[in-house]
Amino acid sequence: MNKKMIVYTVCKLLRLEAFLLLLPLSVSFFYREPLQLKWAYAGTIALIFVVTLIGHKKPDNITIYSKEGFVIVSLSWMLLSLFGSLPFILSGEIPGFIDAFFETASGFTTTGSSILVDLSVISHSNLFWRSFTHFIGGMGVLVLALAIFPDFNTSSIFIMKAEVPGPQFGKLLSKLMHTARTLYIIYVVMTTVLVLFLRLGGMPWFDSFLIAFGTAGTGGFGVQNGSILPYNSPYIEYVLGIAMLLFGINFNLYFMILIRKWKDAVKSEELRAYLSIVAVSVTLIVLNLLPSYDSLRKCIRDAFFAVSTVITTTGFSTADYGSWPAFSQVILLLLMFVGACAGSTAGGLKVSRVVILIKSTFLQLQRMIYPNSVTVLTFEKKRISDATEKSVTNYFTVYMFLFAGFLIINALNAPDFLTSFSSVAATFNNIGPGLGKVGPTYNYAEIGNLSKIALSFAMIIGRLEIFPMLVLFSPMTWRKH
Amino acid sequence: MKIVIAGGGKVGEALCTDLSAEGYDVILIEVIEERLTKLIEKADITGLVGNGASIKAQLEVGVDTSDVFISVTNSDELNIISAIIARKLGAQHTIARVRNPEYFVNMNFVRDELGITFMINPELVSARDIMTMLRFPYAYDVESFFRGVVNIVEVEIEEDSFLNGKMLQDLNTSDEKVLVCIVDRNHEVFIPNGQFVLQAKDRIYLTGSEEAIHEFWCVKKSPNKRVRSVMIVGGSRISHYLIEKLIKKNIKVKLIEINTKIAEEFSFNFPEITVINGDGTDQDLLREEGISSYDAVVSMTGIDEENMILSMFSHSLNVQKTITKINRKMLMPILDKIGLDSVITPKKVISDLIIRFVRSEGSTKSSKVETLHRFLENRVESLEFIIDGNSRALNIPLKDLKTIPNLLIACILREGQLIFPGGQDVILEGDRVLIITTKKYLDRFDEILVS
Repeated sequence: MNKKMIVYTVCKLLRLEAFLLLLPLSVSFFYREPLQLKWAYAGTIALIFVVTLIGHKKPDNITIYSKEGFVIVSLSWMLLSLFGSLPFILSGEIPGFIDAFFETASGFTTTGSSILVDLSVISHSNLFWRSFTHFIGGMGVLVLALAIFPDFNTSSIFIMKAEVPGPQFGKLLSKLMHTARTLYIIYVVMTTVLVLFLRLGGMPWFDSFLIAFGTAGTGGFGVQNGSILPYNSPYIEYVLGIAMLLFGINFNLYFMILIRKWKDAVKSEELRAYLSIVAVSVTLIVLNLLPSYDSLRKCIRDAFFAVSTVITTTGFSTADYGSWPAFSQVILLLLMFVGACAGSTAGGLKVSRVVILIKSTFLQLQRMIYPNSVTVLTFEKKRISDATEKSVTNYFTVYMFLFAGFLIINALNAPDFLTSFSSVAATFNNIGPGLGKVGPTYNYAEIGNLSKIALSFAMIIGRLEIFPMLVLFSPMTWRKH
Repeated sequence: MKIVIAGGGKVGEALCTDLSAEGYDVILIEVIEERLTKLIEKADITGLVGNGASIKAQLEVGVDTSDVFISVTNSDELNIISAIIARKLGAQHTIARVRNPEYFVNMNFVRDELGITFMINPELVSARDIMTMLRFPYAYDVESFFRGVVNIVEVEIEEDSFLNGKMLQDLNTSDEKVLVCIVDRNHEVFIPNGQFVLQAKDRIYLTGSEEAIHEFWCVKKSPNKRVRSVMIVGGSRISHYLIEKLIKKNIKVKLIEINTKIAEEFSFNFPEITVINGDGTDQDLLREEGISSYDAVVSMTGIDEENMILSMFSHSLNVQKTITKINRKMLMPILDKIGLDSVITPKKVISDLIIRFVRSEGSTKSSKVETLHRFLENRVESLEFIIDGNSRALNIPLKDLKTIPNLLIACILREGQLIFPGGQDVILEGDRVLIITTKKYLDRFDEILVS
């Protein structure tokens, strides 16, 4: 275990966070906010620089392996959330530590679950930082570090593997740094385009930026009370609905389009499965809702937005799907688990895993019926090795176990089953609002402190796809021999 | 610069790690998936599972837009075919590892008609390197520059050496023909200046012509200037090439080979040498064949451990020079501890050669790297440049030239004349300049200047 290198890398990432905190600080100056806010940000930045002095010197031995990669990723995500919550506490707008940590973790993990009851009293700088954490967390802090620090060494592949979601990790370019840069460039360009589209729909500049951050990271923090509803514009709802779906697509496909491999990108099995799931879900919900709606158009719009926001694990809201019929709610609940494509900014199990799981189940069935049959599991026209298949099924198992664990802890102070179940589903899969008492029209302010702590961890574990955090907390990792 | 490598064996692995560390974009085509995954974790490269000779695989990794294609799978024919295809698809340069000497005839045809930039034979190159080592029997390591005019040799200062305690500027002030360019003291590397004081146990690297180095170093130990007899254990391919070269130099050779058929073959091919059929690890046999009377023992069996023990045994009998073939790189660090220093690792030999080629091709702008050698676990590099007219270092006295730290301009070859430059000397267009530096990955001469 190369502890010195872990400390060094984590400190470097925290200093990167300090630089990013300069943005909300400038927002605070721009809007001429009270002195306390500026102090809150300046103080946090200063504190980070002082604390990270312990890891200032580059260690002699810089080799790290997958174990260290996992520890670096999980440790830095927890510490980023910890330090990121300080401005909220110091500014006095979220006085409680647990609340502030929950809110920041929810931001970085692009969950979008909030404990804030009234957004209108929150200052611009804090609103900005809240949404900006979505933007950073979406593509990943370590990927950002890889993109801008040229001296991240070659072992960083272990770090990137641990942070980028999905069962298989594909490098776009031979240099890791170029891969990270390309991903960020695609990400930033898409976000900028979205900002312009939102502005064209009459959304104020400040809101356009923040909502775009929330969409890009598939996070879902709003700017106004009532999320997207107050803008009262079908145009904005459609733009966001489509944008969320786009950010839920594997970024490698955008890269393929960039290098003019259109055909390969369109043929992607995961993309087709993802779009089919969206289409089927929208149709089913529309059919279910139609009797209670006056206009078909509004019905389709609400259903599309709800499906898009849930499957991409964003968590913006327009219509209150908490009051929809049970059938629609169940479909949405299931979509929470599916999530979007691997290699996107979304959470959940990921479509590719779901597809592999389903195929694997069918093959199992086939083996039962024809015991001597030879079967090969294929995905994206490539053979899936037994090891990959096993890792996907194992992931699902561990995922279920952890889900059950969080459900039990959360149930200790939950008002009812639906709230308890959906709040775990919504945080573990990084969606945001759930159903019942944590539905789109409610928030997480009322749940107990124990639940808040448990759900904060659920968010980070869910975002990092479980194993990095398990490695961090496993005694095996820290044993010397 | 984009480099595609086919084959992720030992050489492929060394190429991937070294070339990607130098900043090139490396893509590997390898048949075995696990091997590829392992290498992607180890080096900053990307890859494809497939056959390097398939057009589909080559197109998928973009050989058509690549600068260098290197085929180092274990099959000669596959390497040749892959290189031809790569060239036809549009790769700028193609390199193929080819072992069979039958393919090594008519190199012009290979280059012009087949389009293979060059074929390398690891055994042949290794044999050449062993020959260089034998030219300096007292040295641990030897590298040649300026087509052999200048050598860098590594020697150790002993307690009773005339160099012990000497300050560098006090050495042969009259005519500087030999230069101490690197000092390795307890694994700390120095590029010394005139005030540097040498100590016993220092490993020093001497630069100069062959004659000058012999004269400088062998002031007291005149008897063993040259190797006149060599015992080779193991009739490998390298031995074959080596014996050819030794015979040309009129050096007495005795070969010990355990396999009767191979022994007979060697005897048939080389009537000039003595071939013994027997076990090279049998110490009685070695004594009987008079191992201690040979100037050098070269251990060439197929087993690393056997070679190591053989060399240790020869050392104990005071054979002056032992050369050990080691295939596995990970054994290198312990060799130093047990006193074996002249080691030949074929895969390292050819990966160094390819890297040198790539680097000299990579710097097309000005003043290309001609040759490159690395010392002391790659901590020091020596590079040979040909200076072109655009260099900013032209016509400036060296004492006024602001260069990066830890850098030495060791010597200049100008119109066949070897110059060890002083502060007043200048660099002219067309000079061949040898520099020694701890800065890595230089690929243009002007990078030595402080910008």
